[in-house]
Amino acid sequence: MKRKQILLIDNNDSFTYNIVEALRKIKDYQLKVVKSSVIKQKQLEEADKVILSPGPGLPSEIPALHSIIQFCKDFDIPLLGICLGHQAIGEFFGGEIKQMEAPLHGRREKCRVDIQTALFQGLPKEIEVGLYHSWKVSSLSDEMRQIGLSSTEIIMAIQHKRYKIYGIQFHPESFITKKGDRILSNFIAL
Amino acid sequence: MLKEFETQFTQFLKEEEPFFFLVDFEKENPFVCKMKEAHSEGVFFNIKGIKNYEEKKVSVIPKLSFLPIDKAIYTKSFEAVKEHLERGNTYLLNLTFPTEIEMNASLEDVFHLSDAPYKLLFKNQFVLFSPESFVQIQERTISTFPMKGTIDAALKNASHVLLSNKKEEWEHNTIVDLMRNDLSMIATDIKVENYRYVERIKTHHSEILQTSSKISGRLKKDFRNTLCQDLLSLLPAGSVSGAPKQKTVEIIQANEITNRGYYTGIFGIYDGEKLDSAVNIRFIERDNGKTYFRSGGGITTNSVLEDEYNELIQKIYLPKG
Repeated sequence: MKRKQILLIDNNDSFTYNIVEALRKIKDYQLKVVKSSVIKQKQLEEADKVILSPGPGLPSEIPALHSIIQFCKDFDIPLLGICLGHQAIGEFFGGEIKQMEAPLHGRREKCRVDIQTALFQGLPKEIEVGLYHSWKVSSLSDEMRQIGLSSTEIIMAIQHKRYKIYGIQFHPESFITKKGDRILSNFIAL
Repeated sequence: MLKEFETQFTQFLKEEEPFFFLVDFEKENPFVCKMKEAHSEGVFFNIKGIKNYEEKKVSVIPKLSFLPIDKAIYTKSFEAVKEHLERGNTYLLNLTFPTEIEMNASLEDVFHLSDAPYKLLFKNQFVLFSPESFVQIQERTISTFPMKGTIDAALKNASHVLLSNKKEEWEHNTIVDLMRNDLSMIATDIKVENYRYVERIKTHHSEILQTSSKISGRLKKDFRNTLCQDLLSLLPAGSVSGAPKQKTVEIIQANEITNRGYYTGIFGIYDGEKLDSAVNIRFIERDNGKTYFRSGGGITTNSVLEDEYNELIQKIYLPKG
């Protein structure tokens, strides 16, 4: 039997391989890493799970993100966006993103998560997370709901109400984030 | 040039022939030779006691004078970098400048005077005395030791003040995640073995404390076949570039006034068994009859112009001997 495939889309980030390393611990999947600038439709078609990596700049600067999210929605493929990927998902479904007054890079923060959702199953209600962001999702459309909030009330995690589409602002792959591996394996188990 | 370097490096490694290697920041002028031939190439090194020269007593007491880089020039680059940080194009960027210096010692004198763990005198073009390891490889374990965070050791409770400094912590976290990522590209089972440990370093005017972390991973069984390409893929080193690396290097190249060259590259040796290498910092070069000291520091969104400018200047020092 062909092994299922995780497609990790790299937005030219320097943390992408931390995600790869975390996913190596999940055995039954084959992992493919592709840069968002050269992604092909066929690669999306072969994917069973899609992850959008963090990255510099703004979602709008990477036009491919829009079509990737559209594809995952149309074919009901589980999608997880991290940081930049999270912001792309927030925007795609009608939310807004905003530049923060002070960027948070390398920060350790407390985050409350909704442990009723599959993504955060088995986690404590409050977890310590690592942050690298200068933009945030500031509002959500009715299609989405918030499933994680930082101690400073910044939206930390979102979920689509109908599709298996999730966004997390913090970095599960950071060594700062406790239980980051569990979040990723929860997503893969969807 | 890079192809030739790769072929030689890999051949020496497979034959267990001890060798010396040096790579510039831009990866345009790599150099490799057998360890026993380095001497005749005018290349002298000392990596924690493994060396290829006789000690020489230096009689001069080294003195240094210089005019710091024009603050207006520094400010212009600093502000441009700050804007990229605010926009999230980079989270951490190492900004460096050359400072023209005058000293009463030769590059060779400086080389002999220093007791840094990593020393290199290269063809009388430059000397470096670096405290910072790049990677070490022993059997199949690869380790890296990014260094970020400095304080004057003479300050009261210096170690505590350094460790409780939030800005230093955030910057250090960024470099730890970056180096974990880089090792994950070529190894597995990545672990942060030692987080933010403090080391004491002597400079000619004072002692400083620096924080480092140790990150390790496991290389694949036949790592020798691809080690050269793998190491090159880690360059430039995270601690002297920043994160995310690709975009950050573009911003560096647009805002520094000259190429880095061998400064902030790496050099190392393979002794037939283990590999040890350094990040090329604490670097003095001769160019067109002039002498330059190259220095810099990590800029984050929390960085203050005044402090960073001073740090650049403070890092200009000669070994005491």
